[in-house]
Amino acid sequence: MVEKQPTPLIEIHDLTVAYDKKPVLWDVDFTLPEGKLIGIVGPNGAGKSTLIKAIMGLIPMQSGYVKLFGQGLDKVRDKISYVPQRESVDWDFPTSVLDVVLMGRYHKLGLFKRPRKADKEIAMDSLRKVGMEAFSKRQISKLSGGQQQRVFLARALAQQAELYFMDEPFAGVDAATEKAIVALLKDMVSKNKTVIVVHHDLQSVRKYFDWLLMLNTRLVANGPVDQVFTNEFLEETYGGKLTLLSEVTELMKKEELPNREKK
Amino acid sequence: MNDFIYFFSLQDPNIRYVVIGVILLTASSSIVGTFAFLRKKSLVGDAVAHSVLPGVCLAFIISGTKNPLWLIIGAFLTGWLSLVLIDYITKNSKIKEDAAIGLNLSVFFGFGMLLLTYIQHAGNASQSGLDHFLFGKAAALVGDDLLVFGAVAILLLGLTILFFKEFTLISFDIHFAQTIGVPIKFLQLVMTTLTVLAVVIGIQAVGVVLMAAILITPAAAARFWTENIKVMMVLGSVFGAISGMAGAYISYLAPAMPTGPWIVVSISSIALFSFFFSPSRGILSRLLKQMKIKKRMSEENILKALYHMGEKDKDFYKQRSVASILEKRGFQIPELKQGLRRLKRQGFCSSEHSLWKLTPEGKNKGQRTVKLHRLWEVYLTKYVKIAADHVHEDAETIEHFLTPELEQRLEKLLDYPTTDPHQSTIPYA
Ligand SMILES: Nc1ncnc2c1ncn2[C@@H]1O[C@H](COP(=O)(O)OP(=O)(O)OP(=O)(O)O)[C@@H](O)[C@H]1O
Ligand SMILES: [Mg+2]
Repeated sequence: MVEKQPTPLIEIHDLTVAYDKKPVLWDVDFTLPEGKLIGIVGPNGAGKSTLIKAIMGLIPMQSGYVKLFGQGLDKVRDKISYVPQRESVDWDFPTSVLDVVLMGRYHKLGLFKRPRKADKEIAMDSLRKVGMEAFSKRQISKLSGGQQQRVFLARALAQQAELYFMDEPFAGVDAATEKAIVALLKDMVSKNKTVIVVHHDLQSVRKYFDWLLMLNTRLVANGPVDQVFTNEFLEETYGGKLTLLSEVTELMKKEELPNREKK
Repeated sequence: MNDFIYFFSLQDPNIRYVVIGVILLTASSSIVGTFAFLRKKSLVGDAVAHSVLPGVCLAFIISGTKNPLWLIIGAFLTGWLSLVLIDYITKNSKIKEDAAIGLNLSVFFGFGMLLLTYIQHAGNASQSGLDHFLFGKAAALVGDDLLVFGAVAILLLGLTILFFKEFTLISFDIHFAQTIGVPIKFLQLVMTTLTVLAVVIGIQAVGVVLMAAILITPAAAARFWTENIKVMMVLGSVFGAISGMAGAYISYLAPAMPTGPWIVVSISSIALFSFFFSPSRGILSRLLKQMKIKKRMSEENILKALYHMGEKDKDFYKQRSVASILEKRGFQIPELKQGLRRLKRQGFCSSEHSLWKLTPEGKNKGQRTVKLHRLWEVYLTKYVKIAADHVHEDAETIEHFLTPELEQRLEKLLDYPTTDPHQSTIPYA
């Protein structure tokens, strides 16, 4: 099922992406609303990262188009932030935490210009929000995996964007930090920012997200969590891993899901 | 010694040309090399170096002169073409980058050798000095060369400073750079061009074959000493300059020794030294650290064995022979004897007639290790749900690393359990 929204923030039309001619996203077509915390779920290799990369213009599309804020990507780059999967860079790079977060300010600086004092303050503030201010001078090669993830988040916050794409931001992050970050994201959403998160832990889907996109090469479902996070769609999305999944969903049903009413 | 002063006072104009020229070359190529190294494109330098040879030869054939400007233009064109081709092949076929580099390198170099042979047969190769491009001709640098080198070096340095922020960003996270609209195609082109330029002037000193070494090795050596990219860049060019001077000096002392190869020998020695002796990343400091840990672990294991024996006999201060300790736990004999001697020096053991016993401090230390071991086993079975017969191995290691702070948290979390999963008593102080 696919919900159409009156004023879509994101419009993906007939998107097909292929690696070496093998399509990994097939005719994906959807719109997403503004000011929501949106989850993307699907099994490994479902094309979640690929979808985000295609939207961000990092890989070519075979067909289709993407509109953000009703416009092409190039016109609205300043309003968009992308948090890649942590493994996408080599962390053994000779630079400090603060310098990486400052990269989030570069688009405002333009070529040739050095970060100003104001940029440093914004960067420090972003580090504080993810609980990493004590690490600002630390070399990035000396961070744990969860800390690396938080540095990437801080860099995204420093961009002060309207729309955030985050690829598995909770991978390797401890439970307390995850909770703090989710609170932070919810706060951003309450200020009418839109945050899109690739997520793997199905148990927390209802608790975290307002809206859900379920993906497995093709779009399985897209809509408010209450409506699409159902056994039927889960089975369709996760196909082969049915047994494990129905167990998880059974478990979630048993727990009566108080978050469902809260919203 | 006189030679040394004469050489480095740079009174002799010929020496002056060589030294300044070589420093310009090595220092500027290591600055460019820093980014190549960090982007894991070390092989690319090698490919460019080999690919400039046909360009040099073609320029000579066409222009009929050995004017360095012509040769540089020729070198630049084929070096650059080769990089563009590598990029094109990698993007548009299933051939991986390393294979594409190898392919290009051998085809371009082979073609260059062919042209060189042709020129030699035409009878004017040595006169043209083209064969210098194979192994370099640093000792024959003249004033005109310096002007060209100086100009290129300034260009390289200037562009690197100008684009420093962007080059760093691209080297660290190119996808992010792309998403914020940094013109990565353009910047990559600039980087490529800088690499080619550095190679083109560099090969005149060290030659095609060794060029990649002076491009990449200084950066690789510098990486061992710093975690700051700016420091790394400066350090790399200092290393480059030092080895440039060393190479020039050696071939001044022994004119039969060519400069280029000695530059490479010097920079490689610096890299090797860094590899072994860097305090944070060097092999030696790592080995030392490991040895220290190993020593501490075996000391704690000996105390633990003595404690276990005391537990069994209900007498912690009984004298024990080496043989009886070995019976309790399979130490290597020298490991045990040396460990006991160290423990005696530290005041945790005492000995009489080659019989050993714990001191009260030693008993406490052994007891703490035993306690940590058993607490960890409880934690694993209770919280991580690992079967009781699988937890011992893990605890054997962890017992040596738990800090007092973790120890406290563990005690609280488990609420001071009295026995471990194997029903041994957990001893509290
Ligand atoms: N660079 C690439 N070249 C070829 N195939 C690729 C490439 N990147 C991804 N793929 C393939 O595309 C498919 C989708 O990959 P993608 O990374 O988008 O999955 P994902 O949903 O993000 O998975 P995960 O949960 O493991 O992160 C996979 O089958 C993968 O093997
Ligand atoms: Mg992914």
